Amino acid sequence: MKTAKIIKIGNLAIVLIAFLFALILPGVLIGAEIPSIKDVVEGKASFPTIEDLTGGKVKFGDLIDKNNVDLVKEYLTAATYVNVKRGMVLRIVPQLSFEQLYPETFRKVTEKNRGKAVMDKNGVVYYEKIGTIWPGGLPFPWATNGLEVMGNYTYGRIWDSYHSFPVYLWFVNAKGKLYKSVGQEHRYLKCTCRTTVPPLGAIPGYENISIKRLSVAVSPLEIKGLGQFTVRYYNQEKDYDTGFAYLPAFKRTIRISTTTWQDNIAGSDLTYGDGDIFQEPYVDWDLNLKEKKYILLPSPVHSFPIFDKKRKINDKLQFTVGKKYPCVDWAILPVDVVEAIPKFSHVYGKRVVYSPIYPYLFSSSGLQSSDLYDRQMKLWKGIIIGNSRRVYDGTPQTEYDAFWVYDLQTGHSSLMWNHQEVNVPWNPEQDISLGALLKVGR
Amino acid sequence: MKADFWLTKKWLLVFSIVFLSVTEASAAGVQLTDTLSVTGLLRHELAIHAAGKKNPNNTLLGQADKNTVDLSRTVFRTEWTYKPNDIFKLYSKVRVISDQTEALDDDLLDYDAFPQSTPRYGTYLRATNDDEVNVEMSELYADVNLGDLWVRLGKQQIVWGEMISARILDIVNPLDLSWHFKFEPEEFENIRVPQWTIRARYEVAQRVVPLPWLKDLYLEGFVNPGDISPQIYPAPGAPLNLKPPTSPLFQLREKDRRGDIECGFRIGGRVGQFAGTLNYLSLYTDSGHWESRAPLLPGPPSPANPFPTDNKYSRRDMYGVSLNYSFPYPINITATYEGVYSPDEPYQDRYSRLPHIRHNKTLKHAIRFDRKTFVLPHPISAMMIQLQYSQTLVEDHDKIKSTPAPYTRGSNNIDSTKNVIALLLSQDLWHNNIKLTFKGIYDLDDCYYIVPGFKYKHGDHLIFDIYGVVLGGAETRTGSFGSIDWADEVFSRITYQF
Repeated sequence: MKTAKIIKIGNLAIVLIAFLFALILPGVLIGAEIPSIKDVVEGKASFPTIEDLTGGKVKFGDLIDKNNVDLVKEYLTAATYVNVKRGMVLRIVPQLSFEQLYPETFRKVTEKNRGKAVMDKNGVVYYEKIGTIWPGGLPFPWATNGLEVMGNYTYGRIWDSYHSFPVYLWFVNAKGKLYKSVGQEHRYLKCTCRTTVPPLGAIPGYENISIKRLSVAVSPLEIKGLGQFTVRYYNQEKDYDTGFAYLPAFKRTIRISTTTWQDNIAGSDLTYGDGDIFQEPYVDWDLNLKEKKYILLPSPVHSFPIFDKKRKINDKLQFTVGKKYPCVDWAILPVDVVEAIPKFSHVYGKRVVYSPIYPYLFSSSGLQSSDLYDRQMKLWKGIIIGNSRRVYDGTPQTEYDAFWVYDLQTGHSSLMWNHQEVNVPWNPEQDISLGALLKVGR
Repeated sequence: MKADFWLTKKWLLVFSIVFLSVTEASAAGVQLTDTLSVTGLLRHELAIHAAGKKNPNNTLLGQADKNTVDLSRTVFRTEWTYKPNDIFKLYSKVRVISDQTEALDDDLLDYDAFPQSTPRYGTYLRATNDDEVNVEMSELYADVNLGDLWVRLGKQQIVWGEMISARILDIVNPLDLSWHFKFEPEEFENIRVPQWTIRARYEVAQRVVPLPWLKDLYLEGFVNPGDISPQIYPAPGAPLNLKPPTSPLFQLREKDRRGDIECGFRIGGRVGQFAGTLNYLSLYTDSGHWESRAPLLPGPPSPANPFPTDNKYSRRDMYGVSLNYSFPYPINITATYEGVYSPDEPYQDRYSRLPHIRHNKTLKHAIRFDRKTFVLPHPISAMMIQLQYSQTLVEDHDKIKSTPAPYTRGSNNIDSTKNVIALLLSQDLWHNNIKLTFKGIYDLDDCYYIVPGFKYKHGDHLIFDIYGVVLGGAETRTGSFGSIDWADEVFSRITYQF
């Protein structure tokens, strides 16, 4: 009895001492060397290395596989952890400085407009007052809730336009066999929030439009020319997307529903809503910023380019488990982790998305990875974006070359290889329109 | 099996296989140079006659027994694209076709598997004039991209309108019904007769549109300077021969429209979520109508003293409209309306004692609703459900008939309204490797056309598909589904695409 009392008092003392330490030195909870994300993004602390994060157990150049994945488990998305357990291999490299990731222009605009973003109840971002369109830059450099993170993703895109060609969508079965591929071309034009390609701000006549886009299948022959032209509006709550499809088998352009987000794209593991990680209107989802944390994501710099000079997938790229898991370099990045629960009946029970924190952004997308859960809240799929850093006239861009979707329940995967070139001077009428759909159709 | 079967087919297959073996085929086709590429397919199609009765039109020609094979055809199709820059593109589609139907089935009469509406009519670019083999450049055109202006010149298909299984505004090109009627799953893509046409489209820049609420405005037009081709019907004796033999009492003369001009113009745009087009077309009919050239003869006609008659293709003014609207979640339905009004649609005069053409006002229109819906328990692929209602309204229907034959209520009477409902279902499965389809068309006068389908894709290159065709119903007037209930069949295709 007496011994038990002494033990209880001893435990209490230990807890109290630990609490006092935590109050005085909060870093001790995660290791004294790990700087907080806020300090890092504000430039008050240097970017942590993988060695810092793992207490020296993992170093640059190390390979992470199923045997040692638990060393970095807390820095992986849920789906990536499962993938590594199943054969994915990660090579750990240092992250680039944020100055090397995207144009300085975008940071200047972001700083110029810092603190001027306002948001209505549906998550539409405006400049200083509701109704004035956002001129560009990241609206919420330090997001404080899920809606702000998604506002950054939607209204804070770095690119003003892009052209993805070629695009190869690989179908890989559970054994890793590549059994089918679909070739595509994508054209995107941002009509508002433009920061680099003139006209800046909004394109005259298109002030109510966020994005015009055109996607067309280029192979196989059966679907060659199958294209979609869609318009996404600035206020997605007020105006839902408008879409048309050109059907080469019938040589007809028809109107299509663009709100069927839950159907898959061309039979792949990707739904229309999964495009660009989370492109369906987020107003229909409950968003919760769960935490800010460091995670491992594919590095934008590789020992060789993913696409070779002829824009074919580089022969040097290696895979594990057949063609299932490309072996690329991975680096630490600070991210906002947002949990999204649909407010209506959906094929997914939950999305968890990972959004890079300013100024550590990529040109390709404001979201870089996602875990998708089924209606029973079992982990269903994982999405990973892989970027490549390219420099145009001294200006760096991190364009996405890869978009991998893994169905963790069936083992099937869809690997999209996508040579993205940002800030292409698209003409809104000539290049991304109903007429363009006909021109690129068969 | 006839002796020339292998002779007919062998060279085609050898040519195709050699071509495929010397090229490094990929799913994306073959890039021959930086500017020249070719893609294509090798397909064999087999249709087995499944109706309990034989084609009555061929019975009149002397076919004794029911045939088994409706179609056996091998197609090697290549599509060549030369694109030296973003301004210019040259495209051609070349088809080499071997038809073995007649050779495979001894019950069939001799017939021409590649008939033309008139000899060398419409500059088909055919290299052969053979009953069983056809080599033709079915499309050949150049695209010139001049900024907001886009021009396509050459032998091409022009498809306006959005309706499925109905030709409301898709009426610019005639059809080749000679080999497989309208049974192909691609509907009209493989059977439209491309014509030499100039087509231009102008995208109006948003900054110059005076009405800010009007979006995606464009103007489009085409001119066919004289390559007017009528519809191609099966030759007498063909398994799907649609016409009884012409009566010897009439001496028929084709009054072709070669050299005449067809044209069309449309303006399209969008206001909010409503998008649509306004169309005008000046076209000649695809099928001829009979017009007697002589007054009634004093005595009874005979083969030695037939009625001189013209088969005329009348010009029509056609005014069309299309309109569509997409309802958002949770409705997720796209509604499409399309209509065309012709003030001078030609018919046969019901009361004239000799063949005479009468022009009546006619309106054809249709509305369709499309929705993608998850119907399977595991929500991966949604089913596309399309429901379409189409109607034809004819003024003074009691003064006209559909054929030159003597008027009878049961064969060539025309109703004031014709109403048709179509249901199309399409369900992809297993990462789109399998596709199940169903097309059911019901004419409210009580006849139907049903096509269930199954398609399997193996990897990037191989496709196998099979379909059934079921026709029938109490309505048996000329042109109805019930009138061709002898055409039931099962057909399958195996395709290698590259």
